[in-house]
This record gives sequence, structure tokens and C-alpha cells, in this order.
Amino acid sequence: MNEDRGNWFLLTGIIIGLAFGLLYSLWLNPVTYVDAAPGSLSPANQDHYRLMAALAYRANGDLGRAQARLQIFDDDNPAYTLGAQAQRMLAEGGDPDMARALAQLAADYNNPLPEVVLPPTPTLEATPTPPEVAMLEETATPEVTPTPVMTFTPRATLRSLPTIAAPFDLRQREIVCDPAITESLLQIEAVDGDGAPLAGVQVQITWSDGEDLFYTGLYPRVSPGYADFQMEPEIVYSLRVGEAGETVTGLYASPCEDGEGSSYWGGWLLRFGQQ
Amino acid sequence: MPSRRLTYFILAIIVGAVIGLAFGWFVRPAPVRSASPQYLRADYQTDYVLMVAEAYAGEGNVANAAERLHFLGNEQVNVYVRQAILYAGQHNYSQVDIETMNALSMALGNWIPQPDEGAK
Repeated sequence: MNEDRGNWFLLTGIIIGLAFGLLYSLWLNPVTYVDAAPGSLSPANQDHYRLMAALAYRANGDLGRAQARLQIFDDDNPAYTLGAQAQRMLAEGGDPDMARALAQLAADYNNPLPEVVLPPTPTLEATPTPPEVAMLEETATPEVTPTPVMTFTPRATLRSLPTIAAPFDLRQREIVCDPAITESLLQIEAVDGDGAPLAGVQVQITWSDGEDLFYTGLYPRVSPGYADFQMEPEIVYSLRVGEAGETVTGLYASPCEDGEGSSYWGGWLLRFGQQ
Repeated sequence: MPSRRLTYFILAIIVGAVIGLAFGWFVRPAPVRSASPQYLRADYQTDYVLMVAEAYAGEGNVANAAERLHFLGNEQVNVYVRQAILYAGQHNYSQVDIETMNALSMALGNWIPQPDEGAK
């Protein structure tokens, strides 16, 4: 009788073993990555790491250090990644203050503000060496050159960050009829007293039954001081730039015509300057 | 004969288990982008703590700092700060950075968590 059973029991055994092996290796004891780099974190944790880099930058104004921290991620365009993260944060109802920190770093990443270099003081230390190099220093000569990834800039460099709280005046207001722009956009540009684009400026838009809040600098490719808002036809909007600026009223999607007589909705371009 | 079949059956299970383990650990392991922050390399953990300390120096909010340090794991938050200070001291971080982390460590030492504190 036993001879008639064939060799199916071997296949049964392999299937049982395979099931156990997969269960153990994929769920019970999966691969864990130790000594990981921030680029190995999940996207959400990478966002958190970038946010901390932005908050640290806001506190110390050390752009070189912030750039070194972001270069760890091997992003093609770190400024764009930061801007996108700020947008996602606002869209998901996150803290506007956090989004503003991200937007500020996004704007400054490729457009650093003029730096004011203070004379060195005796209390300042030399540039810290990266950990990899530091570990080698027990046997290596002092001439080892730090790799750019973890090279921090010395604290002697201070930056003159903009005063976001100063009020803004409307400098330019014009209707934009451009068939190439398919949406009816409210385009805002904020500049400081010297005419330099200013990121991280709060823009508040209100209409009859709603409001929205966002910040300049989320599109660093356009300009660090740029922001826009998509208007709906037949709704009138009011807008204020900054926390104590002038309120601009009567903004709406303007009817425009192209060269062939077809009508489309245009937008507005508003330029604000800081007093 | 039955004992021989049993032996082959057990061998088949072992072969199947080895194939399953190899698949899960080597052929198709968990995605690389799934590392937990607690497994960050020591230098990156130290730099993270330094970022938290720098942000704390600007904001002065110890509850936020404690919440941010929980990113690194479930230990008491000051453990991470002390580890970072130790690492920084051993690897020639600047005195300014070490003092920044020391200030955070002292603030955490004096901090008593409140139920409604810390959310960011």
C-alpha cells in the first residue's frame, strides 16, 4: 500500500518548509538595517529629518551646515524636495510654522542671502571633522581632508535673515492674460526693502465662504519670493501679505480673449515690497 | 520503509525552509527605505540630536525637543543626548556644538513632562 502513495510527501514537505521559511524571514524576523544612513529611512522619517534640518537652520542660520545635512539624501534638487514637502505639509493641515521653516530653507538653499562674516573670536573652534574622518584620525595624519558630505561650516558666519514681521505694501497690480497659463492664477511676489525676493512670507487669502493660508518660497525654481493661488471664476478674493500688511480686495478671475477670439480666464500678478 | 519516508519528509521540510529563509533574507528582503531611525549610524544620530539641540536653542521649548528626540526610539530622551555628547567628545566636534547639546541635556534634566505638552 505504501508503495502506491508515490513521492507527493516530498512536495508536501517542501511546501511546509517553504511556508515556515517565508513566514519567519518576512514577518517574524525580517531583515533590519543597522548603521543606516538617513537616506535609508522611510519617506515619512526622511521628511522628519529634513524638517529638523530646516528648524536647526532657522535657529542658527548656518546654511552650509544645512546644505551638508540635506546632501546626505542624494536628492537631485534638495530645494525642490523641501518646497514639495512644505506644500504637502500645508495640504495635510500641518503646522504652518514648520512649513515656513522648510520654505525658508528651500528658498535659501540655492539663493543664499549675503553673508556678514564676523571676525573670529578666540572661543571659536575649528571646523568639526566628519565622523568617518574622525575615526581614522587615530592612525591618519592631520592633513586628511574632510569629505564634503559632513563638512560643517564654522559658526563665525552669521547671516542676516529677513525680518518677516515688517509690513508689506502693494507695489504692482496687473491683470495677466496669458493663454499659456491654463489656470486662473493669483501670482504673488514678495521682496524686501532692497528688492530681493523674500521666502517664508505668509499670504492669507479670503473669500465669501473660505480662506487659505500659504507662504512664499514653495516654488524656488520660479523665485524664492513667489507664491500662487488658483482662483475659481465668479468668486471675489481679498489678500494680505505678511502678518500686518495691506489688504488687497477685489481680486477675481478676469475674462481674457486670445488672438482667435476665444475667451478664457486670466489671473493677477501682485508684487509686494517690504517697508 | 516508513522511517525512510519520514526522513525524506523531514529533509524536504528543511530544504523548503532554507529556500524560504533565503528568499526572505537575501533574494527579496525588506525594502532598503525602511530602516528605523533607532538604527541610524552613530554619527547621524549625533547630528540629529545636534539639530534638535540647535532648534531648542532658538525656540526654548523643551517639550518640543523631547518629542523630537523620541524619533530616535523609546529610550528616555536624555539617553540619546548623553550618547551624542559622548560621541561628539570622542570625535572632535566643536566645543560650541557640545555646549549646545549640553544645554539641551540640562534642560531635559530639569524638565517635568506635562500631559498637554509636546506635539511637534
